[in-house]
Amino acid sequence: MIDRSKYKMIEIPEELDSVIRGAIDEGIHGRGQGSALRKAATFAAALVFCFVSLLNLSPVFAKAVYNLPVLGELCRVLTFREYHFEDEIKYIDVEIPEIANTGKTELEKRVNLEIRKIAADYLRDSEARAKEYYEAFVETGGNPEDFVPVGITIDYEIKSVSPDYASFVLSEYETKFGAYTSHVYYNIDLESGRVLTLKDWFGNDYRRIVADSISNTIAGWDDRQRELLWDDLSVIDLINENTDFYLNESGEIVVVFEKYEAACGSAGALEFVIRDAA
Amino acid sequence: MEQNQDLLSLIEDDREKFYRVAFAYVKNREDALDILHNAIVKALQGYHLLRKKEVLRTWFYRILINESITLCRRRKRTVSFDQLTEGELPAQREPERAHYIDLYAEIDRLPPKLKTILILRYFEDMKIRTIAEIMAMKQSTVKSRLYRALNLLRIRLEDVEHD
Repeated sequence: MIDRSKYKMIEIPEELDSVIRGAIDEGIHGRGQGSALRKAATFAAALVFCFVSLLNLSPVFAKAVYNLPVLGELCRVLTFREYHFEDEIKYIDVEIPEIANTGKTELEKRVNLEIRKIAADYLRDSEARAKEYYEAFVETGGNPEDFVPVGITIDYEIKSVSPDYASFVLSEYETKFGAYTSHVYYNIDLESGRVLTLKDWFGNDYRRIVADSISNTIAGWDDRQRELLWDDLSVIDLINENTDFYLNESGEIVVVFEKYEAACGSAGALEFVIRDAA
Repeated sequence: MEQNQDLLSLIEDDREKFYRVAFAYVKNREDALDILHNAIVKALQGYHLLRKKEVLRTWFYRILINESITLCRRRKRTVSFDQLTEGELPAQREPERAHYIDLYAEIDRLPPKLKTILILRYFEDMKIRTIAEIMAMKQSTVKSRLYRALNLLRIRLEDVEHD
């Protein structure tokens, strides 16, 4: 007889869902180069320092597409900075947005500085984890040459750009540890030059408005979806000035609850389009 | 998005199954997650090349298994088939345990392709025909490899086929 118990008892890690979501995202949006390059990096000799560049493609790029209808609008506001770095422990790809040509120099400076600071913090933490992992690998008898570098990717996605607002999200993924994925949402009011909050949008009563809209959406769910929510979920307690949200292409506010924030892990992150009943 | 909905549902529904298959190859969490990650990315990127959508599941398994084998190779943790001789395999099993086969541990002694067949046949309970489709081989090849794998592990067929 075959003992199948060990196979059946293989523990499913809680990162499984986030790894799958990351992979689906990567598969659909075509950020697949990372893993191929990561493989190539394995064969590279130890201590290959390959600091490619800290380049800003914006001037040429923006100029070239400035007059195109859709892209022109986008590049008027957002350009990006990217760099790449690798050694025997890690493989880093960074692509962060910068706002430009908004006519608000102070705003640009402040937001760009903040984006860079967030990216730098991400990187510092990820590098520390990669180093720890590498040291543990070597200490436990691993051959340093066999170590597959940890892939660290900082990336962004533009949710929407209009003459009035720019909405985008900054994401970080670590390919070795699927568990580490984080997002920071940015919504910029290009008119006032401020970072937009839910309060700015819905007024003083924003917590109730947002919570009511979310509760209405949830009420329309079937039992299968609903049972993933935390039993003691209180939507209104999750709504504050720091609640994540973005503006979608239709100019609607979409509130995002990260994985585990409102529901168990298998539900993933939840998004709610907010409609003001009033 | 709409078009690959069937692939997304398959991944969603059977994610734990796929994870276990990957894990059985590499026996560690990070590598198994890496395999699954790469397999999903490749499947989504290659989805438009898949003409017969009814073989989706088989096709995904094939990608998953190729990824597993690739990673095994890269890690050089598996023994190559040339190194595998009757004499050194396996460590002596105690006679009284002969009817209780820890195949899950035993498969690690095999080269990836033989390992694949055992995982799919005995842990995933697949038919020889399905395995042949996944591995793009003739059924007779799958059978002969299956016997060879069992033989190398000194497992008698009747011990595993009649339970």
